[in-house]
Amino acid sequence: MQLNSVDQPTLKRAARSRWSTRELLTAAVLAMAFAVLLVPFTYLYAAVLSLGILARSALTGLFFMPAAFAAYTLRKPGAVIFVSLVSGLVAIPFTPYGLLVLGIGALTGAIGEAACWLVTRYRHFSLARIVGLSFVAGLVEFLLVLFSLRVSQIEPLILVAAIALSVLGFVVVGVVARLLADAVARTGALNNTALGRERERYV
Amino acid sequence: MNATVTVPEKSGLAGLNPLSKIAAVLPAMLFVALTTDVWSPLAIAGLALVVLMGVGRISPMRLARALGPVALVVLGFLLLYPLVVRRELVAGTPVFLDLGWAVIHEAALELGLTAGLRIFAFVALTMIFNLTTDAHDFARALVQQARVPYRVGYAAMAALRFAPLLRHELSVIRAAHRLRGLGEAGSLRDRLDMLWRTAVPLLASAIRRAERAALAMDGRAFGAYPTRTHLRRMTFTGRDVAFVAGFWLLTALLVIALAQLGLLGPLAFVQRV
Repeated sequence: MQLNSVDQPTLKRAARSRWSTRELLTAAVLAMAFAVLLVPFTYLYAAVLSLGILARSALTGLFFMPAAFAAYTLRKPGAVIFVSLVSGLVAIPFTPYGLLVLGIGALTGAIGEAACWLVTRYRHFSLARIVGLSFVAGLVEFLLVLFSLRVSQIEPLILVAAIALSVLGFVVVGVVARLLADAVARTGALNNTALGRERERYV
Repeated sequence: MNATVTVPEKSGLAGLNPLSKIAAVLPAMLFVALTTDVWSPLAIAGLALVVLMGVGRISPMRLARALGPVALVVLGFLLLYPLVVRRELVAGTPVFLDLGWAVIHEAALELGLTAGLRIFAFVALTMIFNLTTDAHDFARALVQQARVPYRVGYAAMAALRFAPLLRHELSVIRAAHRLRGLGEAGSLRDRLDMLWRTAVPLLASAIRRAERAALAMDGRAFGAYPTRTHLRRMTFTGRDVAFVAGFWLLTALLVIALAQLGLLGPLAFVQRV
């Protein structure tokens, strides 16, 4: 073992990017728990999708919840995209959309992961950073998804309102996910995650 | 040791590799995303329905239940999309309906119908996968054929096994709340409060269960080797190749037929106006 010859920062970086079985399982089951909680909303989503672009924009952020929760608690490269993909995978049998949910999960995950890397560098998770992360994710997601809904056909005023609603939805969900993670951390269940370890330092 | 369990032969679409079902419908999905007319998504949706009923032997009743909510979405688009369409796009066309506070032009109606039908065609295509695939098989195929690291794939599969447990947990938590007189939901605020009170214990217990399962898996040397054996083998056979090639061919023929009949509108991801 040449463990002694490795300097501390390298070790820390390795610990950040390597996934233990515990972390893998925690992330996957988190995704499942959110799927159980959010599946009723996919039916609501199906109903409001027909109510037009504004209602849709307001609700899209909900599917960012598992990603934001994972980003804040696990703080690992790949956590956001993994949790989003698994929550899409496990939701397939229960939603009216099926495979499309996996596509949305992949998209939200990839955007969330990039935004997380950009805003937090997997290290800094203050409230302001979470707001920034959600803001970026919401904006990019809107631009990508709504292009497929033929944005150029829609009245500019309604479009601006839709962007605002969509970004606001993401930010609210990001903040709620942070509050939720703190509430769960108080139960002690998250003691083995990055969030739990950070909290321990302050106790 | 290379012991595998022979999986009982499944018929039709269910016996295909999940990945080949995705590969088969991808070009059709891309085409639907690019269409700007009414007929193309309609034709593709028709193709998907014919394959589902013909090859997949899905009963019309089951199809109707699966696609019912999406049909409502199409109706919603038809009714509400015209209200948000840019006016100068449709101003030249005949007026369909004058409501006083809003004028609905025929072109706006057509744009709404196209947007709705596109979503319908998308969902109809994904049903070829959804209605005939077990999520566990999909995870297995991702590991065995798509070379996803098996630790990741098996973690996802373990999560799938948690679904009934977590649903049971959810009902236990709700029962506990009712026992303490908190069950009655009234206003929106009450409902949100209740969602919060349910989410915290559900997530906490889910994470505790996950950690126990991870310890059990580590104790059995999960992930100790770079490769592993599989209890159920997913295969990629001539039938898969035939299905993918056949579906691609049918899609191409349909596109050519639409073009020949003059029903195919301009293709564009972002429509120029």
